[in-house]
Amino acid sequence: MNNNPALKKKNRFLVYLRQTWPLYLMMVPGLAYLFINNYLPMFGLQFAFKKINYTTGVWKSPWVGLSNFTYLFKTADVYEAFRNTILYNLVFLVLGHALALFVAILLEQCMGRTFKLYQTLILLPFLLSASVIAYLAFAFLSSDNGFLNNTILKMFGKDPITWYSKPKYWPYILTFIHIWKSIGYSSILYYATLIGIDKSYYEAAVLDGASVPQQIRHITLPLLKTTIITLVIMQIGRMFYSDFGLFYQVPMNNGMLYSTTNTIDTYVYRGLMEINDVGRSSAAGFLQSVLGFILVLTTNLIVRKVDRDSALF
Amino acid sequence: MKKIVAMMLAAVMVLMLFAGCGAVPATNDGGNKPAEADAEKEDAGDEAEAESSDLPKVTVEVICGSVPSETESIQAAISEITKEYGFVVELLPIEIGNAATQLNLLLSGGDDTLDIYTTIGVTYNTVVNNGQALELTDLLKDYEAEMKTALTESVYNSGYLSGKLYGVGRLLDQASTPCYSIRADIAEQYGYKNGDKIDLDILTELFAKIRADYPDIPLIGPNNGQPNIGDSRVDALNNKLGVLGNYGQDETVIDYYSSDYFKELCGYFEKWRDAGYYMSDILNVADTPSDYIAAGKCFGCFASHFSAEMNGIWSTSNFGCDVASLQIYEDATAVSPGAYFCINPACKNPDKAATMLYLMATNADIVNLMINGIEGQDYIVLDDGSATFVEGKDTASTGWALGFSWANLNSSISIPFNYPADYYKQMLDANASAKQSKAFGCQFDLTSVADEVSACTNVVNKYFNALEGGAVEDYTATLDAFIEELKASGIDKIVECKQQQLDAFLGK
Repeated sequence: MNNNPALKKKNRFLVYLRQTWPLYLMMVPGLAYLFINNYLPMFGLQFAFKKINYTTGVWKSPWVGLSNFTYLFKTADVYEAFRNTILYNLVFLVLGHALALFVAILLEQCMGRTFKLYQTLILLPFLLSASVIAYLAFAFLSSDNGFLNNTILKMFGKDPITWYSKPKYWPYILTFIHIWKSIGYSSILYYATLIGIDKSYYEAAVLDGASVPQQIRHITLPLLKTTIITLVIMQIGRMFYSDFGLFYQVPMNNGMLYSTTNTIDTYVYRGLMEINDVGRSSAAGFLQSVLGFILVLTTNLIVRKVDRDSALF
Repeated sequence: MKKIVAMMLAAVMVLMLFAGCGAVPATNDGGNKPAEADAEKEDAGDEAEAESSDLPKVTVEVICGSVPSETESIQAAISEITKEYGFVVELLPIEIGNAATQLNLLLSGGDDTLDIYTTIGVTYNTVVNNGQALELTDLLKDYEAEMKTALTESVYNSGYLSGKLYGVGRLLDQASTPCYSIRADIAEQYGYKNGDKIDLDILTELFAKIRADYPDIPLIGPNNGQPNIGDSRVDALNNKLGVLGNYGQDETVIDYYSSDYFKELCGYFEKWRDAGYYMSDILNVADTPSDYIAAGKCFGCFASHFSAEMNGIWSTSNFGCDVASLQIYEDATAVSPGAYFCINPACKNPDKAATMLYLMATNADIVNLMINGIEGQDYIVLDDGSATFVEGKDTASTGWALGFSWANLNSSISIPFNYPADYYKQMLDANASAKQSKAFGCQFDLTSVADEVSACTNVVNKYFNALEGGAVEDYTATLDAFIEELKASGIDKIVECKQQQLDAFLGK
């Protein structure tokens, strides 16, 4: 009988390891993937602070301090791009999640074949590339042949609108397209949680005479809370990024629309097309990810203060 | 047993993860070629391969529309010639649409997948600044005299950056003149023919006459997605941010967009917009001149060429109907070459690559193989000495990348393809007769004003196409806002920076 507590602890650990090592082994590929895909590229963060010279190589390229960042703080256009990025993301966040939730609940209500049909229909746009969507949008918005000008506006007796030269319409157009494109995917995430909810809750509620809206408010939403918070926090991390295809391709890089379609990504792309400077583009990416990181930490901190169990970490 | 299986599965999964990260095989066959080219290599390339396997290899970029199928046989034919210089050639076709991205990737990897490349899609100054171009001053010493004769001295010397040569300038049309291309039958109706000289007032009158007879058909369509109305009265000094006026004869750099040149042009844009000459949504439609001119959806478009007449001939063979191009300005400005041929610093045999550059500038057989492919297989020579498609073939069915002569170092010694036999002579004459810009050969380094360049580029993107395409409502206000935003973004600093470098270049 060995009474040494440290040895006992070690033994217990060995026993634990003997029982569970296949599980750890199975984790290795995932960890390796995570490391290669998410951690290794972080070495590239140094690009943001260097003047890259390919002859000497990245490691030996000279450090240039913050000079790669200066172009992001110089003109009114950049502020406009930051403003647009954040505002669009806020709208996408609130509207996107609310509608995705709504659609998920609706989906859960319909069963059988109709479900498959609806799911396919709302998921389809998610699979389209931005260039295809750009031309679908053009089919609607073209001044001469567009569906809106030729059919809808005509029906109401309104004058045709030159959509591609009026920036004021684009926040609505882009929000609509974004929601239309993304809702199928995000609603599936919610739907997956929904079908995991124990049906007996609902049966009990029905017996007590709860109406459907009451069931949603008192059973579905509280049980979905953690999922909602997780998804929202994850999206907040992308607050300073924008869907390049949506903001560059769909408005067709039209100069007249920049005031409402320019985002950080499109600004950087347009500005650096000519100079082709890896350091400067890395600087933009660096800034976006650091700001996103801070936002995620803050949101999580607030969530933890309010409701410890729902926090991500 | 279960554990062993689990362990093996896990091991396999980990190995699979790393499978993609393997080193590039030394043969460079990985990834860049279509399967069919590899298959073809088996039969076509076998003999050449056997004899020349021990000779060093120089890989040369070839710009194409889509990767051609006969790369192997053409590189074998070129290697036959280069063997006596002690090396073989591998051609690496890069699609023009991906050139910028692919080149950036190939040149940042630090490996020698590519030895000789063209600064198409990237700028000469940038690759030199990034350390992506090998210094050629000494490597080309022995060939210098001959290359200067072949490419002209001014073109060769334009590759010097602070006294060192990093690239060889491409000999092509140096002066391009804007012209208005219109369906030839319509032009004829109003008394114009291909190559006629007009000016913007005459053009505006012509527009009005055509409009009176054909009230529904627009007159200005997009070319390459833009209205593309050029201005040959200035040397754009690469990017139009700071230009030399008076056909490049001034020695003072000015801001083009606040100059009288641009103001005058905007006046015409406004007139044309008011009269409704532009195709609607000109900045957004995907139509190309070959779609809309022959179909009668729009009568014409703007284009630029060293000769309006040649542009008309080119358009006629590409747009599917007879086209007349009318020259807008009296003169043109000869400016520095638009592309340079450089050697990748990772190249293993720089001296062989230098020899290849020399051959690409001087050896008509090699140049012709690179541009037109193999006679009888890809092209035939007509009685007048020009070349055309093999009977029954077109761009798509020919196995070589035809139509990219402009992407070569010295196309002037190749056989003109679907052009008059004296095409290149005319090109060289046009180069000689155009006004030589004072800044010809001056390589501007804008690193110190990179912030301003990126800000101004954004401003230009915002306004320029819209103004040129008749898509703004209030021209005066928009032009003022444009100029003001450029000022706020630091255009003056760019102008000043260019001025200093120009002064140094001119020895002031």
